[in-house]
Amino acid sequence: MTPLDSPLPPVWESAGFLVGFVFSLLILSFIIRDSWLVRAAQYLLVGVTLAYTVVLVWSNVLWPRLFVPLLENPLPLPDSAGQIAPVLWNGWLPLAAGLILWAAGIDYLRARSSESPNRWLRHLAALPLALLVGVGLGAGVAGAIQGTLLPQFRRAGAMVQLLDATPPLLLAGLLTLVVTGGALLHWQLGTPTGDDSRFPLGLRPLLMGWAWLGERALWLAAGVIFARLFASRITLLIARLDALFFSQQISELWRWLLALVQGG
Amino acid sequence: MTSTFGCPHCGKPNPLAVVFCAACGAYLQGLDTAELARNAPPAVPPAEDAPPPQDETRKRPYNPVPSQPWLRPNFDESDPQSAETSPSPVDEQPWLAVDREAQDAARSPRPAPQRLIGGLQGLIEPLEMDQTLFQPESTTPTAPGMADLSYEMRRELRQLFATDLLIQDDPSPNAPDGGLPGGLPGGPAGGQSGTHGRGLWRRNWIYGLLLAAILLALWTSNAAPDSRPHSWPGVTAAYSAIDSLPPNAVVLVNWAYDPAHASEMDLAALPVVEHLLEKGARLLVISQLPGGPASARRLLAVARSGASQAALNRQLGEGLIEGGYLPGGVGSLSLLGQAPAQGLPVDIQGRSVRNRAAITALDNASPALLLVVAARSEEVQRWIEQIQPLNRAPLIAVTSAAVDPAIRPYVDSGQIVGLVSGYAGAIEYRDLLADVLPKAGQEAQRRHITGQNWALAVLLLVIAVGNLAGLAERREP
Repeated sequence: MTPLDSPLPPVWESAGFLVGFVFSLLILSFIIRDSWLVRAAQYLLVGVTLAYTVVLVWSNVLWPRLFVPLLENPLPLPDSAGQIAPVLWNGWLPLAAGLILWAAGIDYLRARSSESPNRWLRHLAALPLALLVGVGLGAGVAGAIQGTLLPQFRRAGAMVQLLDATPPLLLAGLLTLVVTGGALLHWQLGTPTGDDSRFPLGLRPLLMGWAWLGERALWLAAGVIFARLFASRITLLIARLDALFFSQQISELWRWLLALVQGG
Repeated sequence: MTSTFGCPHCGKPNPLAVVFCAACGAYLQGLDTAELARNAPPAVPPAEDAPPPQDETRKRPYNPVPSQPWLRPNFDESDPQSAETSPSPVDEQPWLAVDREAQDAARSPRPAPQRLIGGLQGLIEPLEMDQTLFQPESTTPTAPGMADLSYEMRRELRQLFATDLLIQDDPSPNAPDGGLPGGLPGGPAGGQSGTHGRGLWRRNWIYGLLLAAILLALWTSNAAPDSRPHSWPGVTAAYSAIDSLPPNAVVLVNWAYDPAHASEMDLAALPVVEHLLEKGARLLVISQLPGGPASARRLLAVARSGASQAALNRQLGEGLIEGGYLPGGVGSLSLLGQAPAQGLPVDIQGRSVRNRAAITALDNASPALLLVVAARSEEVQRWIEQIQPLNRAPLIAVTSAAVDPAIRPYVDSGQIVGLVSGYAGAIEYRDLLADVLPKAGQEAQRRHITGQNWALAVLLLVIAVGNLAGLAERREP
């Protein structure tokens, strides 16, 4: 037996498949009409997903990575070299920050008003929150610059080198530069009005036209994103139908249902 | 007694004890919902010649929470109290006050409406947001927009934006089930509008047609495909990169899809994982999605069962570490890129990974390969931006076909050495492996491809027929 083998008896897998089959039918009944069956299935799915996430976070993150180290070595005593044990930074500090966030969140849910008497708690919770957001944004922006923006601009710049670029590459590079610049310009300028005095008169039509092009490119990108989303949802529907009617397990299910109907 | 009340923001009926509006997401706690239910205004404004309400004294003003003044019916009218107490967007966001005086002059004819920011509320009033944020600096009169409409009409429009597309039998304003002021069909008072349509106008017909086409394709796709999928650049490079791995090379794998996307992603990922196992690679698998570890475990078990025993025997020690769920988003990725043993202290079963071979091999060296198996382009981008600059390892992406266009520029720039996407990529990779799917797998693959083609064909048909019908309708007198 390898670590990947399921420890569950086969009957559990069949039960899971039957539950999935019932839920699929409930949700697909939306084709007929929106009903409480559809809603109940949706709510149950959302609830089960949340519960699964909570269990996963506890068993895979909080317990082994936070509480076990704290229980094994709770005191941040300095070692022989005078170094403070990392449990202070890796254990107690995250725990304290998490508890503050929890308390502030619960207070917010309870009070539901900006005039809550526990404003100090929210101000305190702003510190770990600011740390989270700041670190995330800092890492994200730095990564986007070094991993996407600079390499892509370098590539686009290399593609438009007239001496050694083939026509399709040249066209693609020019298009990338024009559309990227236009989109950025549109975000900066907003909808062109034609009388923007921030720019020299001679450049105004060019910039406005470029921003106009960027706006159209953004709409086109939005359409592509929607089309991709739709295609992926069609794929999901096909997979579900295929699982319901054609997979090995469902064949067994049909046989089981047939036997049930026939009294066998 | 009435058990529902109309949301003051969009008009949608909601249960009395609701916290957020089910349609527009407006925060409704703190409202006197019972009073609102008793004084529920008609969902469609009464005609101009309609008699006034009989009992005006029963309508007492309600007091929404102070942070949402737009829930007041008379929000359009000037309110000295709110003018004194409610800060304007510019007051709250000083960076918007580039030319405050010019903006004030432009807005002087009428007070600028309060922006609806917060949760979903900002998403359903784009016209108002646009006018408030990007107010032209010139003093020329602006075209009439949403802010010029009455409160009732704005609420109707909000509800229209927040409602699924409905098509009536009779779109005229005199239709018995009502219409929006200004001749807009599909007013909320229509209630049943959209359920009495004819032919393709009925939404359910479109759903049914789509479903029938997919089912028909699934049942009739037993014939062998008469064409090969398009060969995209990147598949051969991915194969070459994996094929050139030395035995026991450590591969860091990001499993970024959950069971919801398993149909397409399993098909694309399986030949790549099988190839890695055949090459004797040691896999260190993590996921930043809650459902990712379960998906990885299931597919890895399938791939391992199909791998040759000789290949599995070639592996020295542990060939797979399941890192499980890695929370923390971008921040934890940086740590994983720099020091995997610190970023990934325990595996999915809670056992320490610090002294295990695949991890210790990364103490002084980068992984031989990064593999991202993702249903969304953002997951691939994150690894390109956060992990690859730190360890400089080559990266291969296995994605759904929908993600391919967004990832393709990274292939062209050389940041991704290989890309296997969708059914087409999976089939081509299988060909390179000189491997054939088992019969059941071939049939499933054929069904999926045919179903996808038929669904897209039906959608194109619906779009074409809809456009033609719209064109014909427009030409009618």
